[in-house]
Amino acid sequence: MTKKFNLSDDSVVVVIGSGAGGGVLANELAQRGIDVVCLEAGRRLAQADIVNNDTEMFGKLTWLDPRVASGQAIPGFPVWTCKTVGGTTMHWTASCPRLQEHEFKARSTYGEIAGANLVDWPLDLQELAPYYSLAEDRMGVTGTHDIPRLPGNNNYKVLEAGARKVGYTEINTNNVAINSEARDGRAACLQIGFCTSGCVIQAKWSTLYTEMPAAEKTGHFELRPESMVVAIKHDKQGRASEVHYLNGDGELKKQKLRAVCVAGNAVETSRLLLNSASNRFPGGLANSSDQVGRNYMRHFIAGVVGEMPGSVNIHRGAHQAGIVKDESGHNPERGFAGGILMLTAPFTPEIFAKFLQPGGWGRDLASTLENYDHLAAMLVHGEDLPEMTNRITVHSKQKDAYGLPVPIVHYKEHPNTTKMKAYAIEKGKNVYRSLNASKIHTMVDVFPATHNMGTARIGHNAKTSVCNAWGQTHDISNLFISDGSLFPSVGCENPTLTIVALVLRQADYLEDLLKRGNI
Amino acid sequence: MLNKRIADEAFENNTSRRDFLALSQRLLLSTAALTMCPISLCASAMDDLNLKYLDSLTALLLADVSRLLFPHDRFEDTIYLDVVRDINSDMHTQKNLKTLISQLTKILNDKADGDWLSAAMSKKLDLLKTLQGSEEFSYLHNRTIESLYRNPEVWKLIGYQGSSIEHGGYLHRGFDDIDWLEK
Repeated sequence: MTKKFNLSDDSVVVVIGSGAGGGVLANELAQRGIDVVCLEAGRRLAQADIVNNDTEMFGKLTWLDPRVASGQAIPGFPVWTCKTVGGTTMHWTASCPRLQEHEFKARSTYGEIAGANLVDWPLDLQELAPYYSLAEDRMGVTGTHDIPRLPGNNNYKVLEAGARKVGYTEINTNNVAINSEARDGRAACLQIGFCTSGCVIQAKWSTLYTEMPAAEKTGHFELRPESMVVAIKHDKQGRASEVHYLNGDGELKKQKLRAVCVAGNAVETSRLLLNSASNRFPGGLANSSDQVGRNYMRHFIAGVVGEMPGSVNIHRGAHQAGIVKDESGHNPERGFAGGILMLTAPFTPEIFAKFLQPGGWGRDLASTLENYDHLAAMLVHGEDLPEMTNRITVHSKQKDAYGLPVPIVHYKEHPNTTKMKAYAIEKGKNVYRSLNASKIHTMVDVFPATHNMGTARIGHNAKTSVCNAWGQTHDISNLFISDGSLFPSVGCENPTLTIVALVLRQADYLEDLLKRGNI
Repeated sequence: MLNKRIADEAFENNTSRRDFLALSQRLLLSTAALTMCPISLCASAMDDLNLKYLDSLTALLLADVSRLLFPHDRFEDTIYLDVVRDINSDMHTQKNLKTLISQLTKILNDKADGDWLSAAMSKKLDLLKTLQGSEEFSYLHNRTIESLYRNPEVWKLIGYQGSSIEHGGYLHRGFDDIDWLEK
C-alpha cells in the first residue's frame, strides 16, 4: 500500500533524487520507520519500457535539459546523467570497486600539488568499511559476501590475456552489482549486453526496481516522479522548511519538511543550492564557505580500441565485468599522483563511428568499422584532482523550460591529469599490442562526464567545506547532501559504491538526530 | 561498359520494372556507372523514391557524398539511399535544412565545375576535405553516421547483432566463444 503524505506534513524527510544516493537513503530511512517523500524529476519507467535499443533508451533515460559547457567540458553536453526514477543507476555499468585506503588521504599521500585543492577525507577506509560491506550485500556485488564473480566475456578474455602478457596480475571480472546467480528476487545475468541502457531482466542493480518498491512496502514512503524541485526555502531561523517543486502538470507545489536530503548528482545538486539563494543566504544555501559547486571532479575517461587478429564480438555480455588494477596505486615514479583502472567496455558501431576519429571519414575509418567484430575495447580512467576553479555555476540569463537558470559546467584538466591520461593510454595500448593488434585506436576527450563529484565536499572545517563528515551541511542543520557531491577527492574508482556507503552511514546519523529531536 | 551490359541484359530478360529500378539504383552510384548512365535514367530511378523535399539530382549527389564519407564496397547502394531518405525526413522537421542542403549542393557542384556527379573520385575527395568543419559538412557527416550505423542491415554486414533479449542474451550463444587466444 503506497503511502500519501500531505504537502503540509512537516514531519517528513524530503529526499530529492531517486538514484544511488537518494534511492538508497530514502529506502533505508523508510525501513527504519521514518516518513519519506522522494521527489524525482524524471518519469517512472515500467519494466516493459526497457528495451535493447541504445538510441531509444538514451531518449528515455537521459537528462536532456540544457547545460552550458565551459573550458574543456564537452560543448552542448558536458555531463551524461539520467532523468528518470532510478537516476544514473539505470545507465551505470554496475562497476563497484572500493576506494583504497590511501585515496581517503589524498593530501597526506600526494603532498602539496600546485593548483589542486587537495585535502584528506574527514573519515578513513576503516570507518567506511562496514558501510561498504552493507552496500555490497544490499546491491549484490560479485566477489563479495560469497557471491561468485561473473564469467568473463570475449572482451574480458582479450583484456586478461593482453594484461598478463605485459606482466599485470591483478586481473578479474571485477566487483559488479550484477547478479551472477539469482538473488534478492532478481534474475542472474544472461550476458545480454546493453547494460548502459537499463537491464531488461533486472540482473543489474538499479534503484528503480530494488530500493523503490522496497520502500513503498514499508508504508513510510511516497515517490513523486516528474517533480522538478525549483528551490529549497528556509524559515526565519535559517532552517530548511519547504521544498518547492513543479509537478508533471507544471503546477508549483510546496512540501513542508523536517529535513531535506539533496541527491541530484553533482550538477543538479549544486544548481539547486545556488538557485535557492535568499536574502539571508545570498550566495546560495549552505554556501558560507563559497565551496558549493567548486572542486568539481570527474574521472578522465579514455577509450583504447584494438583491431584484433580474430573475432571478439565485443557487444556480447556484461559491459564492465573486467578490470585490471595493477596501475591503481599511487606511484610517483610514473610522474603523476593517483591511480588508474582499466576496464572492459563495449561500444556500438555508431559510437565508434563518431568517436574513433571525431569528425573523421573516409576509407580507413570505414574499414575499421567494417572490422567491427574484431574490435576489443577498454576504458582507462583515473583520479582527477580537486580545483577551486573547476565548478558548477548558474547562468545569469539563460533559463530552461522550468524557468530555472541553467547550470554552467566549467572544467579544465589539471596537468597531473594530462600526464596520467597519456600514461594510461600508452599502457592500455600495450595490452592490445601484446596480442598483435593490427591497429590501435583511442577515444580521448570525447565522452561527456558520467562520474560527477566533489561540489559539496565533506570536511571538519566549515570555512573550507560544505558538509560535515556525515553530509550534514555546516550552515543548515536539517539540510543534507546525499550524492557524489560529498567527495573531497575521488580516487580512481567508479563512485557509486562509495556513494551508497556514504548515504547508509548518513542514514544512521540522521536517524539518531531525528530520534533525539535534534532536528 | 560492364554496367551497361548488365543493364541491357536486365532489359532483355524482361525484368520487371521494380527489379530494373533496384538494379539501376545499385549501378547508379559507382562513379563508373554515373558517367555512363544517362541522367534521365538516374533521375527517374530517384523519382521512384518519392522524396518530397529532394529533387532527383540532389538525392543522387547526397547518396554519392555519403558513400564517399563512409565507403563500404560491400554495401549495396540502397543502404546509402536510406541516408538520403533520412535527410528527406529531417527536412520535414527541421525548417532550416532546406537552405542548408541547397547550399551544400550548390557548393559541391560549383567546386566541381558545375557537375559534382561527373567529377573524378580523387577530385571529389579533395573537395570534400575543403568543406570539413562547415555546417553543411557536419550535418551530412553526422546524418550519414547515424543513418548507416543505426541501420540493422548494416549491423548484419559488419557483425553487430543488436537486440539480444529475444534470443536470451549471449550466455548460451557465444559471449565467451573466443578461440584465437593462446592458452
